Amino acid sequence: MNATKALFGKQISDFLKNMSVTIMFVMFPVIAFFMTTFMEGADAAFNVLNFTAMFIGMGPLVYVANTIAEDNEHKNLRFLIMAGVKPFQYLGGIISFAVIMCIPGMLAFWWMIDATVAQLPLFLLIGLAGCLASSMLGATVGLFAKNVQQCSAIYTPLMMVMAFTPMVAMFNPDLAVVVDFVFTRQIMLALFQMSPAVYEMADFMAEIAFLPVTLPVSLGIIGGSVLAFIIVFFAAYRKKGLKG
Amino acid sequence: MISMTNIVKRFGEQTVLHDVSFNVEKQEVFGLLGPSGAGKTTIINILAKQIAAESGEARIDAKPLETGLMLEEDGLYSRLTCTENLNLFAGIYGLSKSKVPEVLASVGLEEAGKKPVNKLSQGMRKRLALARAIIHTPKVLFLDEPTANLDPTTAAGIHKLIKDLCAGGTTVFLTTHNMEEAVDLCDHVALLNKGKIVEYGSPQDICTKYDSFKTVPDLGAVFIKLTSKGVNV
Ligand SMILES: Nc1ncnc2c1ncn2[C@@H]1O[C@H](COP(=O)(O)OP(=O)(O)O)[C@@H](O)[C@H]1O
Ligand SMILES: [Mg+2]
Repeated sequence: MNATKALFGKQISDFLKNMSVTIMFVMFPVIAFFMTTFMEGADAAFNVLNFTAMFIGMGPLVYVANTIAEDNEHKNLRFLIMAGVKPFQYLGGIISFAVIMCIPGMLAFWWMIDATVAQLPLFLLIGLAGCLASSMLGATVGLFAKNVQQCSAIYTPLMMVMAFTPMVAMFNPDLAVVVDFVFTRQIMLALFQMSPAVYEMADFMAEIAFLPVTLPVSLGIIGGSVLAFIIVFFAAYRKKGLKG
Repeated sequence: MISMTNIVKRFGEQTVLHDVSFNVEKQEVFGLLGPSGAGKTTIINILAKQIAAESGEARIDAKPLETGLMLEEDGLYSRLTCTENLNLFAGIYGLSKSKVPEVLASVGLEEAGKKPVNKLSQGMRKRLALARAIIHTPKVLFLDEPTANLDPTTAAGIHKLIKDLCAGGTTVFLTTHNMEEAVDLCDHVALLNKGKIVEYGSPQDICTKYDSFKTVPDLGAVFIKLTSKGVNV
């Protein structure tokens, strides 16, 4: 408990001082807000949710991957482990911190698409499940990367896929057969259905999608991705471990 | 307190340690001397259980949480301040926060608490790494080249701290390639060359054995006298 609390405190101080990473947790909600001041209805909601997908696909992934790779490269980890910190305490701390740091952003997105208070729990559940998936992927990348530079080389393509597929899918319906299986795309579809603007665009969404656009399908793919990434992470951990 | 028996360590084809054995008594300062590449850091890494040896036995009569470690790669969080770095470890060890200014003062960093690590000089950074290594008053302390590249005043400060720790009951294991330092600090030394221990004993006895004494002008002492705290020139 001591260690968990101390690591959390360290995480907060470092997060506030690591602008290049912190900015991602702030930038997307802010840009989404300003862009939607000039838009209305479905366009606005659609735009907000594109940024939501980028937020989920970039923020937690980059934060978790970078933190682990950096601690590895600078040998911080070795001293933590010497002091009795358990690898899972350390990893769990970083991952849960990343997910918690996503809450303000997710609340902002919820507010921007005019969803109801009653929808908030499900909105957060879906959004934060996505953040968890993204964090688990980040943790896997962090375990494999030898240093920070290699780490960003690995996460960049993953980040592109997760952040931009929802947008790409809107313009290339042919890609839907692949893209519909990416969890950020399903997050976007699921959250879009909570916007009052969904009525203006429901037919269009159904038309450009490969899978049926319904909540159970989205939840299945999002939940499946979370599970898959958790399994991948544990497999990576068993193979690579956390040397320090 | 610390012992190595017949340790052999290879990195790939290269055998880095050949059958290394030695003993360190409780509450002494033990110096492992040797040129660069001799295998000093490797020995510390084996003792601190950071790496495993191919064969032989390494023992420390202290629990992992009762050992302190300072390595060349200091593992400090560079964006965080000195105080934040130490707060983290005070928290992990379950120590009171008041321990942090105390230990900062003991390494002469009382005024640098709010400085981020990436703004520290090399000597300050080393002292912070030392502070982290001793914050939990370990029984056994490993120091890998604690004074390399430091100015004589800072080095003398660290020497004093090491002696104080030892007087307080800590067993100190350090490496150095600075022979004056070894004579000044160590109760016993082992000379390591190319992974073999070629000499062992107290610095006095070894020098007697090789009839190696010298009298030279000691500019270092003058330097320290004139640049230490409380001196107004
Ligand atoms: N991780 C490693 N992989 C391969 N060789 C290593 C590794 N660590 C040290 N060595 C080699 O072992 C020898 C001893 O290194 P080291 O213990 O760091 O020496 P010292 O600390 O005395 O300068 C050197 O030749 C070095 O190149
Ligand atoms: Mg060395």
